[in-house]
Amino acid sequence: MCSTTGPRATSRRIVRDEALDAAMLRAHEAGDSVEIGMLYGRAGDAAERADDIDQACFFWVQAMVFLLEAGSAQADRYRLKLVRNGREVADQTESR
Amino acid sequence: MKDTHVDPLDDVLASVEHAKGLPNAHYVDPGVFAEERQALLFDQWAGIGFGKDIPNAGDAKPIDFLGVPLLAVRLEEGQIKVYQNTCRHRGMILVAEAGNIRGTIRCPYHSWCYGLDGGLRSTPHVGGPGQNLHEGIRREELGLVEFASYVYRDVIFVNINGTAAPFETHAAALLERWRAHDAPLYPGGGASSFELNVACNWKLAVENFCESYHLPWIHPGLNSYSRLEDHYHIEAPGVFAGQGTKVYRQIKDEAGEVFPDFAGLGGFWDEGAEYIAFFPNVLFGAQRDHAFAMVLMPDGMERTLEMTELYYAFDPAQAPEPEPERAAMIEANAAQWREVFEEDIFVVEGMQKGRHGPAFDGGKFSPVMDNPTHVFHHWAARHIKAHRER
Repeated sequence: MCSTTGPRATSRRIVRDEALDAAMLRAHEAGDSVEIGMLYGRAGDAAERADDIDQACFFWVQAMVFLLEAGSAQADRYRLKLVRNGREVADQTESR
Repeated sequence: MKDTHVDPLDDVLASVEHAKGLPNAHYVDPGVFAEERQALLFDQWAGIGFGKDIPNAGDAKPIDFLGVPLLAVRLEEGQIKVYQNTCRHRGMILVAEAGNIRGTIRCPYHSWCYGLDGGLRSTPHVGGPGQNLHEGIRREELGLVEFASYVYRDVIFVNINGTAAPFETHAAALLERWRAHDAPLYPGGGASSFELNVACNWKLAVENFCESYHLPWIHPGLNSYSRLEDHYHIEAPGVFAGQGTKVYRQIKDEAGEVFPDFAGLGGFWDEGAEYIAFFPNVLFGAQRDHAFAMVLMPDGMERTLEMTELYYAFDPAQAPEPEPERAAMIEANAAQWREVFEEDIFVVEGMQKGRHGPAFDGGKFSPVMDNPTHVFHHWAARHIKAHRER
Protein backbone atom coordinates (compact mmCIF):
# COMPACT_ATOMS: atom_id res chain seq x y z
CA MET A 1 0.00 0.00 0.00
CA CYS A 2 1.36 3.40 -0.93
CA SER A 3 0.82 6.55 1.02
CA THR A 4 0.49 9.84 -0.80
CA THR A 5 0.94 11.88 2.35
CA GLY A 6 4.33 10.61 3.44
CA PRO A 7 7.24 12.93 3.96
CA ARG A 8 8.61 12.34 0.49
CA ALA A 9 5.32 12.90 -1.35
CA THR A 10 5.96 16.56 -2.06
CA SER A 11 9.62 16.21 -2.94
CA ARG A 12 10.83 17.67 -6.15
CA ARG A 13 13.67 15.35 -7.12
CA ILE A 14 17.05 16.95 -7.38
CA VAL A 15 19.49 16.00 -10.05
CA ARG A 16 21.92 13.49 -8.69
CA ASP A 17 25.40 14.78 -8.22
CA GLU A 18 27.49 11.80 -9.26
CA ALA A 19 30.76 13.36 -8.12
CA LEU A 20 29.26 13.98 -4.66
CA ASP A 21 27.91 10.42 -4.53
CA ALA A 22 31.34 9.05 -5.39
CA ALA A 23 33.01 11.24 -2.78
CA MET A 24 30.54 10.04 -0.16
CA LEU A 25 31.26 6.42 -0.96
CA ARG A 26 34.98 7.05 -0.73
CA ALA A 27 34.57 8.80 2.62
CA HIS A 28 32.40 5.95 3.92
CA GLU A 29 35.01 3.47 2.81
CA ALA A 30 37.73 5.44 4.57
CA GLY A 31 35.60 5.75 7.71
CA ASP A 32 36.21 9.48 7.75
CA SER A 33 33.24 10.69 9.78
CA VAL A 34 33.98 14.40 9.37
CA GLU A 35 34.28 14.11 5.60
CA ILE A 36 31.15 11.95 5.41
CA GLY A 37 29.26 14.47 7.50
CA MET A 38 30.38 17.46 5.48
CA LEU A 39 29.49 15.74 2.19
CA TYR A 40 26.02 14.84 3.45
CA GLY A 41 25.71 18.43 4.59
CA ARG A 42 26.50 19.63 1.09
CA ALA A 43 23.93 17.21 -0.34
CA GLY A 44 21.36 18.54 2.10
CA ASP A 45 22.12 22.14 1.24
CA ALA A 46 21.76 21.30 -2.47
CA ALA A 47 18.40 19.70 -1.84
CA GLU A 48 17.31 22.78 0.12
CA ARG A 49 18.24 24.98 -2.83
CA ALA A 50 16.08 22.71 -5.01
CA ASP A 51 13.19 23.27 -2.58
CA ASP A 52 13.20 19.62 -1.59
CA ILE A 53 13.11 20.11 2.17
CA ASP A 54 12.39 16.46 2.97
CA GLN A 55 15.38 15.33 1.01
CA ALA A 56 17.43 18.11 2.61
CA CYS A 57 16.43 16.97 6.08
CA PHE A 58 17.30 13.40 5.24
CA PHE A 59 20.82 14.45 4.30
CA TRP A 60 21.15 16.85 7.24
CA VAL A 61 20.27 14.01 9.58
CA GLN A 62 23.04 11.94 8.04
CA ALA A 63 25.40 14.89 8.28
CA MET A 64 24.57 15.61 11.91
CA VAL A 65 25.00 12.00 12.99
CA PHE A 66 28.43 11.56 11.46
CA LEU A 67 29.61 14.94 12.72
CA LEU A 68 28.30 14.11 16.19
CA GLU A 69 30.26 10.88 16.07
CA ALA A 70 33.38 12.80 15.09
CA GLY A 71 32.89 15.33 17.87
CA SER A 72 32.77 18.12 15.30
CA ALA A 73 31.18 21.43 16.22
CA GLN A 74 29.71 21.43 12.69
CA ALA A 75 27.11 18.96 13.97
CA ASP A 76 25.37 21.88 15.66
CA ARG A 77 24.91 23.61 12.31
CA TYR A 78 22.90 20.71 10.92
CA ARG A 79 21.08 20.07 14.16
CA LEU A 80 19.92 23.69 14.03
CA LYS A 81 18.64 23.26 10.47
CA LEU A 82 16.71 20.18 11.57
CA VAL A 83 15.36 21.96 14.65
CA ARG A 84 14.11 24.81 12.47
CA ASN A 85 12.27 22.27 10.34
CA GLY A 86 10.74 20.46 13.32
CA ARG A 87 12.85 17.34 12.79
CA GLU A 88 15.10 17.47 15.85
CA VAL A 89 15.34 19.11 19.26
CA ALA A 90 18.09 21.36 20.53
CA ASP A 91 20.82 19.45 22.27
CA GLN A 92 20.45 19.89 26.01
CA THR A 93 23.68 18.09 26.79
CA GLU A 94 26.74 20.09 27.58
CA SER A 95 29.15 17.18 27.54
CA ARG A 96 29.76 15.36 24.33
CA MET B 1 9.75 -39.26 58.39
CA LYS B 2 12.84 -37.47 59.58
CA ASP B 3 14.47 -35.25 56.99
CA THR B 4 18.00 -36.56 56.66
CA HIS B 5 18.99 -34.13 53.94
CA VAL B 6 22.14 -32.26 54.86
CA ASP B 7 23.23 -29.22 52.92
CA PRO B 8 26.94 -29.65 52.20
CA LEU B 9 27.26 -25.87 52.41
CA ASP B 10 26.54 -26.17 56.14
CA ASP B 11 29.81 -28.09 56.41
CA VAL B 12 31.60 -25.18 54.75
CA LEU B 13 30.01 -22.75 57.18
CA ALA B 14 31.32 -24.65 60.22
CA SER B 15 34.40 -23.36 62.07
CA VAL B 16 37.68 -24.00 60.30
CA GLU B 17 38.50 -26.92 62.63
CA HIS B 18 35.37 -28.74 61.52
CA ALA B 19 34.66 -27.29 58.08
CA LYS B 20 35.00 -28.90 54.70
CA GLY B 21 35.76 -26.96 51.57
CA LEU B 22 33.22 -26.20 48.88
CA PRO B 23 32.07 -29.44 47.23
CA ASN B 24 33.20 -30.45 43.74
CA ALA B 25 29.99 -29.17 42.19
CA HIS B 26 31.19 -25.62 42.80
CA TYR B 27 34.01 -26.20 40.35
CA VAL B 28 32.64 -28.67 37.81
CA ASP B 29 28.83 -28.37 37.70
CA PRO B 30 27.44 -25.92 35.10
CA GLY B 31 24.24 -25.45 37.14
CA VAL B 32 26.17 -24.36 40.21
CA PHE B 33 28.41 -22.19 38.05
CA ALA B 34 25.28 -20.38 36.83
CA GLU B 35 24.19 -19.83 40.44
CA GLU B 36 27.61 -18.52 41.40
CA ARG B 37 27.65 -16.21 38.39
CA GLN B 38 24.74 -14.43 40.02
CA ALA B 39 25.47 -14.87 43.72
CA LEU B 40 29.26 -14.48 43.78
CA LEU B 41 29.91 -12.18 40.84
CA PHE B 42 26.87 -10.20 39.68
CA ASP B 43 25.52 -9.57 43.19
CA GLN B 44 28.97 -8.38 44.34
CA TRP B 45 31.52 -5.71 43.51
CA ALA B 46 33.50 -7.62 40.90
CA GLY B 47 36.62 -6.43 39.12
CA ILE B 48 36.35 -6.19 35.35
CA GLY B 49 39.51 -4.36 34.26
CA PHE B 50 41.82 -1.42 34.84
CA GLY B 51 41.48 2.31 34.57
CA LYS B 52 44.92 2.42 32.93
CA ASP B 53 43.41 0.82 29.83
CA ILE B 54 41.20 3.86 29.24
CA PRO B 55 43.56 6.67 30.26
CA ASN B 56 42.17 9.54 28.17
CA ALA B 57 38.83 11.30 28.02
CA GLY B 58 36.65 9.52 25.48
CA ASP B 59 38.49 6.21 25.73
CA ALA B 60 36.06 3.32 25.60
CA LYS B 61 36.70 -0.37 26.06
CA PRO B 62 34.20 -3.18 25.54
CA ILE B 63 34.47 -5.93 28.13
CA ASP B 64 32.72 -9.29 28.08
CA PHE B 65 32.00 -10.12 31.71
CA LEU B 66 30.70 -13.68 31.80
CA GLY B 67 28.58 -13.02 28.74
CA VAL B 68 27.37 -9.58 29.84
CA PRO B 69 28.56 -7.00 27.30
CA LEU B 70 30.00 -4.02 29.18
CA LEU B 71 31.43 -0.76 27.96
CA ALA B 72 33.87 1.11 30.20
CA VAL B 73 34.34 4.76 29.23
CA ARG B 74 36.28 7.67 30.64
CA LEU B 75 34.40 10.96 30.68
CA GLU B 76 35.81 14.43 30.03
CA GLU B 77 36.17 15.02 33.75
CA GLY B 78 38.20 11.83 34.17
CA GLN B 79 35.45 9.81 35.80
CA ILE B 80 34.93 6.23 34.63
CA LYS B 81 31.47 4.86 33.90
CA VAL B 82 30.40 1.37 32.94
CA TYR B 83 27.42 0.83 30.66
CA GLN B 84 25.71 -2.12 29.12
CA ASN B 85 27.25 -2.17 25.65
CA THR B 86 23.85 -2.59 24.06
CA CYS B 87 21.80 -0.13 22.01
CA ARG B 88 18.40 0.65 23.49
CA HIS B 89 16.85 0.33 20.01
CA ARG B 90 17.48 -3.14 18.62
CA GLY B 91 19.96 -4.47 21.12
CA MET B 92 22.97 -4.14 18.86
CA ILE B 93 26.44 -4.13 20.40
CA LEU B 94 27.52 -0.50 20.37
CA VAL B 95 31.29 -0.64 20.55
CA ALA B 96 33.12 -3.68 19.23
CA GLU B 97 36.72 -2.59 19.75
CA ALA B 98 38.55 -0.41 22.24
CA GLY B 99 39.23 3.10 21.00
CA ASN B 100 38.65 6.78 21.59
CA ILE B 101 35.18 8.22 21.19
CA ARG B 102 35.73 11.71 19.83
CA GLY B 103 32.07 12.65 19.85
CA THR B 104 29.09 10.44 20.48
CA ILE B 105 28.79 6.67 20.63
CA ARG B 106 27.00 5.84 17.36
CA CYS B 107 25.26 2.52 17.10
CA PRO B 108 26.61 0.87 13.96
CA TYR B 109 23.14 -0.44 13.05
CA HIS B 110 20.66 2.49 12.85
CA SER B 111 23.00 5.16 14.22
CA TRP B 112 21.24 6.03 17.44
CA CYS B 113 23.75 8.31 19.17
CA TYR B 114 24.70 8.36 22.85
CA GLY B 115 26.87 10.80 24.76
CA LEU B 116 29.70 9.57 26.96
CA ASP B 117 27.37 10.39 29.84
CA GLY B 118 25.01 7.71 28.50
CA GLY B 119 22.34 10.17 27.34
CA LEU B 120 20.57 9.47 24.04
CA ARG B 121 21.59 12.40 21.87
CA SER B 122 19.84 11.64 18.61
CA THR B 123 17.54 9.09 17.01
CA PRO B 124 18.06 9.54 13.28
CA HIS B 125 15.04 9.01 11.00
CA VAL B 126 13.12 7.49 13.92
CA GLY B 127 9.95 9.31 12.87
CA GLY B 128 10.50 8.62 9.16
CA PRO B 129 13.15 9.79 6.68
CA GLY B 130 14.62 13.12 7.76
CA GLN B 131 12.55 13.16 10.96
CA ASN B 132 14.44 12.43 14.18
CA LEU B 133 11.48 12.89 16.48
CA HIS B 134 8.42 10.86 17.38
CA GLU B 135 6.14 11.25 20.33
CA GLY B 136 6.66 7.60 21.21
CA ILE B 137 10.40 8.03 21.50
CA ARG B 138 11.28 9.60 24.85
CA ARG B 139 15.03 10.06 24.75
CA GLU B 140 15.26 10.81 28.45
CA GLU B 141 14.05 7.26 29.12
CA LEU B 142 16.33 5.62 26.59
CA GLY B 143 19.85 6.39 27.76
CA LEU B 144 22.45 3.69 28.11
CA VAL B 145 21.93 1.33 31.01
CA GLU B 146 24.60 2.17 33.56
CA PHE B 147 25.97 -0.26 36.11
CA ALA B 148 27.14 0.84 39.53
CA SER B 149 30.90 1.15 39.31
CA TYR B 150 33.84 2.25 41.41
CA VAL B 151 37.57 2.51 40.80
CA TYR B 152 39.90 1.47 43.62
CA ARG B 153 43.64 1.07 43.13
CA ASP B 154 43.00 1.40 39.39
CA VAL B 155 40.70 -1.63 39.30
CA ILE B 156 37.26 -0.99 37.82
CA PHE B 157 34.61 -2.67 39.93
CA VAL B 158 30.99 -3.17 38.91
CA ASN B 159 27.92 -4.41 40.69
CA ILE B 160 25.88 -5.87 37.85
CA ASN B 161 22.72 -6.68 39.80
CA GLY B 162 22.75 -3.38 41.68
CA THR B 163 22.09 -5.13 44.98
CA ALA B 164 25.39 -4.57 46.79
CA ALA B 165 25.96 -1.92 49.43
CA PRO B 166 27.84 1.16 48.19
CA PHE B 167 31.47 0.25 47.47
CA GLU B 168 32.91 2.51 50.15
CA THR B 169 30.62 0.92 52.71
CA HIS B 170 31.29 -2.63 51.61
CA ALA B 171 35.06 -2.15 51.31
CA ALA B 172 35.46 0.12 54.35
CA ALA B 173 37.75 -2.30 56.20
CA LEU B 174 40.12 -2.53 53.24
CA LEU B 175 40.04 1.20 52.53
CA GLU B 176 40.94 1.85 56.15
CA ARG B 177 43.57 -0.89 56.40
CA TRP B 178 45.45 0.46 53.40
CA ARG B 179 44.69 4.14 53.97
CA ALA B 180 48.46 4.88 54.06
CA HIS B 181 48.66 3.38 50.59
CA ASP B 182 46.34 5.90 48.95
CA ALA B 183 49.16 7.63 47.04
CA PRO B 184 48.72 7.65 43.23
CA LEU B 185 49.63 4.45 41.41
CA TYR B 186 51.47 4.67 38.10
CA PRO B 187 51.37 1.69 35.75
CA GLY B 188 54.77 0.26 34.89
CA GLY B 189 53.93 -0.10 31.20
CA GLY B 190 55.19 -2.76 28.82
CA ALA B 191 55.91 -6.07 30.54
CA SER B 192 54.32 -4.77 33.77
CA SER B 193 51.00 -5.65 32.19
CA PHE B 194 50.53 -9.34 31.53
CA GLU B 195 47.84 -11.98 31.27
CA LEU B 196 47.92 -15.67 32.10
CA ASN B 197 45.23 -17.97 30.78
CA VAL B 198 44.75 -20.82 33.22
CA ALA B 199 42.55 -23.91 33.14
CA CYS B 200 40.78 -23.56 36.47
CA ASN B 201 37.69 -22.15 38.03
CA TRP B 202 38.34 -18.56 39.13
CA LYS B 203 37.81 -19.41 42.81
CA LEU B 204 40.88 -21.66 42.90
CA ALA B 205 43.09 -18.72 41.96
CA VAL B 206 41.59 -16.77 44.88
CA GLU B 207 42.07 -19.66 47.26
CA ASN B 208 45.71 -20.16 46.32
CA PHE B 209 46.41 -16.45 46.78
CA CYS B 210 44.81 -16.36 50.22
CA GLU B 211 47.28 -18.58 52.00
CA SER B 212 51.02 -18.67 52.65
CA TYR B 213 50.98 -22.41 53.42
CA HIS B 214 52.05 -23.26 49.88
CA LEU B 215 54.92 -20.79 49.64
CA PRO B 216 57.85 -23.00 50.69
CA TRP B 217 56.75 -25.72 48.27
CA ILE B 218 55.62 -23.79 45.23
CA HIS B 219 57.83 -20.71 45.54
CA PRO B 220 61.07 -22.11 46.99
CA GLY B 221 62.89 -18.95 45.96
CA LEU B 222 61.18 -17.20 48.87
CA ASN B 223 62.59 -19.58 51.49
CA SER B 224 65.90 -17.79 51.79
CA TYR B 225 64.45 -14.46 52.85
CA SER B 226 60.71 -14.73 53.34
CA ARG B 227 60.14 -17.80 55.39
CA LEU B 228 56.78 -19.26 56.22
CA GLU B 229 57.02 -18.09 59.82
CA ASP B 230 57.47 -14.51 58.64
CA HIS B 231 53.94 -14.52 57.24
CA TYR B 232 50.64 -13.88 58.97
CA HIS B 233 46.99 -14.33 58.08
CA ILE B 234 44.71 -11.51 57.00
CA GLU B 235 41.06 -12.25 57.71
CA ALA B 236 38.14 -9.90 57.19
CA PRO B 237 35.18 -12.27 57.01
CA GLY B 238 32.72 -11.39 54.27
CA VAL B 239 35.04 -8.98 52.49
CA PHE B 240 38.64 -10.11 52.04
CA ALA B 241 41.37 -12.48 53.15
CA GLY B 242 45.02 -12.94 52.47
CA GLN B 243 48.49 -12.96 53.89
CA GLY B 244 51.12 -10.54 54.97
CA THR B 245 54.86 -10.70 55.42
CA LYS B 246 57.07 -8.90 57.90
CA VAL B 247 60.23 -9.23 55.84
CA TYR B 248 59.48 -7.63 52.49
CA ARG B 249 62.73 -7.18 50.59
CA GLN B 250 62.96 -4.51 47.92
CA ILE B 251 64.27 -5.32 44.49
CA LYS B 252 67.70 -3.72 43.84
CA ASP B 253 69.78 -3.32 40.75
CA GLU B 254 73.50 -4.06 40.59
CA ALA B 255 74.32 -0.58 41.89
CA GLY B 256 72.02 -1.09 44.87
CA GLU B 257 69.36 1.30 43.54
CA VAL B 258 65.78 0.70 44.60
CA PHE B 259 62.45 2.00 43.37
CA PRO B 260 61.22 5.14 45.15
CA ASP B 261 58.71 4.55 47.93
CA PHE B 262 55.09 5.57 47.87
CA ALA B 263 54.69 8.79 49.80
CA GLY B 264 53.45 8.75 53.35
CA LEU B 265 54.26 5.18 54.32
CA GLY B 266 56.91 4.24 56.86
CA GLY B 267 56.47 2.20 60.02
CA PHE B 268 55.12 -1.26 59.25
CA TRP B 269 55.54 -0.76 55.52
CA ASP B 270 59.33 -0.36 55.76
CA GLU B 271 59.61 -4.13 55.95
CA GLY B 272 56.04 -5.32 55.67
CA ALA B 273 53.91 -6.17 52.66
CA GLU B 274 50.37 -7.44 52.29
CA TYR B 275 48.58 -9.55 49.71
CA ILE B 276 44.81 -9.43 49.84
CA ALA B 277 42.12 -11.27 47.90
CA PHE B 278 39.24 -8.82 47.78
CA PHE B 279 36.17 -10.96 47.18
CA PRO B 280 35.12 -12.02 44.71
CA ASN B 281 37.83 -11.78 42.08
CA VAL B 282 40.52 -9.16 42.66
CA LEU B 283 43.96 -9.85 44.13
CA PHE B 284 45.92 -6.90 45.46
CA GLY B 285 49.53 -6.59 46.55
CA ALA B 286 50.83 -3.57 48.48
CA GLN B 287 54.51 -2.94 49.19
CA ARG B 288 56.56 0.14 49.97
CA ASP B 289 57.89 0.59 46.43
CA HIS B 290 55.44 -1.07 44.08
CA ALA B 291 52.01 -2.61 44.02
CA PHE B 292 50.00 -4.92 41.86
CA ALA B 293 46.43 -5.80 41.07
CA MET B 294 45.20 -8.96 39.43
CA VAL B 295 41.67 -9.26 38.07
CA LEU B 296 40.50 -12.83 37.73
CA MET B 297 38.21 -12.81 34.72
CA PRO B 298 36.21 -16.04 34.62
CA ASP B 299 36.04 -17.47 31.13
CA GLY B 300 33.48 -20.17 31.71
CA MET B 301 33.50 -22.64 34.57
CA GLU B 302 36.97 -24.12 34.12
CA ARG B 303 39.03 -21.31 32.65
CA THR B 304 40.24 -18.01 34.07
CA LEU B 305 42.12 -15.10 32.57
CA GLU B 306 44.50 -13.67 35.16
CA MET B 307 45.04 -10.03 34.22
CA THR B 308 47.92 -8.46 36.16
CA GLU B 309 49.16 -4.88 36.37
CA LEU B 310 52.17 -3.64 38.30
CA TYR B 311 52.27 -0.08 39.63
CA TYR B 312 54.92 2.29 40.96
CA ALA B 313 55.16 5.52 42.93
CA PHE B 314 56.52 7.32 39.86
CA ASP B 315 55.30 7.50 36.29
CA PRO B 316 57.75 5.71 34.00
CA ALA B 317 56.03 7.28 31.00
CA GLN B 318 56.81 10.80 32.28
CA ALA B 319 60.52 10.34 32.98
CA PRO B 320 62.28 13.51 31.77
CA GLU B 321 65.28 11.57 30.52
CA PRO B 322 65.57 7.98 29.43
CA GLU B 323 66.54 5.96 32.44
CA PRO B 324 67.72 2.61 31.13
CA GLU B 325 68.68 1.28 34.55
CA ARG B 326 65.26 1.96 35.99
CA ALA B 327 63.54 0.58 32.90
CA ALA B 328 65.61 -2.58 33.30
CA MET B 329 64.55 -2.83 36.95
CA ILE B 330 60.90 -2.46 35.98
CA GLU B 331 61.34 -5.24 33.43
CA ALA B 332 63.12 -7.45 35.95
CA ASN B 333 60.46 -6.88 38.57
CA ALA B 334 57.70 -7.74 36.10
CA ALA B 335 59.56 -10.91 35.11
CA GLN B 336 59.93 -11.87 38.77
CA TRP B 337 56.22 -11.48 39.51
CA ARG B 338 55.27 -13.23 36.32
CA GLU B 339 57.46 -16.15 37.34
CA VAL B 340 55.79 -16.32 40.76
CA PHE B 341 52.31 -16.32 39.22
CA GLU B 342 53.36 -18.88 36.61
CA GLU B 343 54.64 -21.12 39.40
CA ASP B 344 51.09 -21.19 40.74
CA ILE B 345 49.53 -22.34 37.48
CA PHE B 346 50.16 -26.06 37.87
CA VAL B 347 48.66 -25.88 41.35
CA VAL B 348 45.40 -24.21 40.42
CA GLU B 349 45.04 -26.33 37.27
CA GLY B 350 45.85 -29.44 39.32
CA MET B 351 43.19 -28.58 41.91
CA GLN B 352 40.68 -28.10 39.08
CA LYS B 353 41.48 -31.55 37.70
CA GLY B 354 41.36 -33.00 41.19
CA ARG B 355 37.82 -31.78 41.64
CA HIS B 356 36.63 -34.12 38.92
CA GLY B 357 37.38 -36.93 41.35
CA PRO B 358 33.88 -37.83 42.60
CA ALA B 359 35.10 -39.01 46.00
CA PHE B 360 36.71 -35.68 46.90
CA ASP B 361 34.61 -34.19 49.67
CA GLY B 362 35.66 -30.55 49.50
CA GLY B 363 38.81 -31.15 51.47
CA LYS B 364 40.01 -30.78 55.07
CA PHE B 365 41.43 -27.43 56.09
CA SER B 366 44.46 -26.99 58.28
CA PRO B 367 42.98 -25.22 61.31
CA VAL B 368 46.20 -23.23 61.56
CA MET B 369 47.37 -22.57 58.00
CA ASP B 370 44.20 -22.48 55.89
CA ASN B 371 42.19 -19.92 57.82
CA PRO B 372 42.13 -17.23 55.09
CA THR B 373 41.06 -19.83 52.51
CA HIS B 374 38.24 -20.83 54.80
CA VAL B 375 37.20 -17.20 55.12
CA PHE B 376 36.75 -17.17 51.33
CA HIS B 377 34.85 -20.47 51.27
CA HIS B 378 32.66 -19.26 54.12
CA TRP B 379 31.88 -16.07 52.20
CA ALA B 380 31.03 -18.05 49.06
CA ALA B 381 28.87 -20.58 50.89
CA ARG B 382 26.93 -17.87 52.70
CA HIS B 383 26.11 -16.01 49.49
CA ILE B 384 25.19 -19.15 47.55
CA LYS B 385 22.89 -20.28 50.35
CA ALA B 386 21.23 -16.87 50.49
CA HIS B 387 20.80 -16.91 46.71
CA ARG B 388 19.14 -20.33 46.85
CA GLU B 389 16.81 -19.25 49.62
CA ARG B 390 15.61 -16.19 47.74
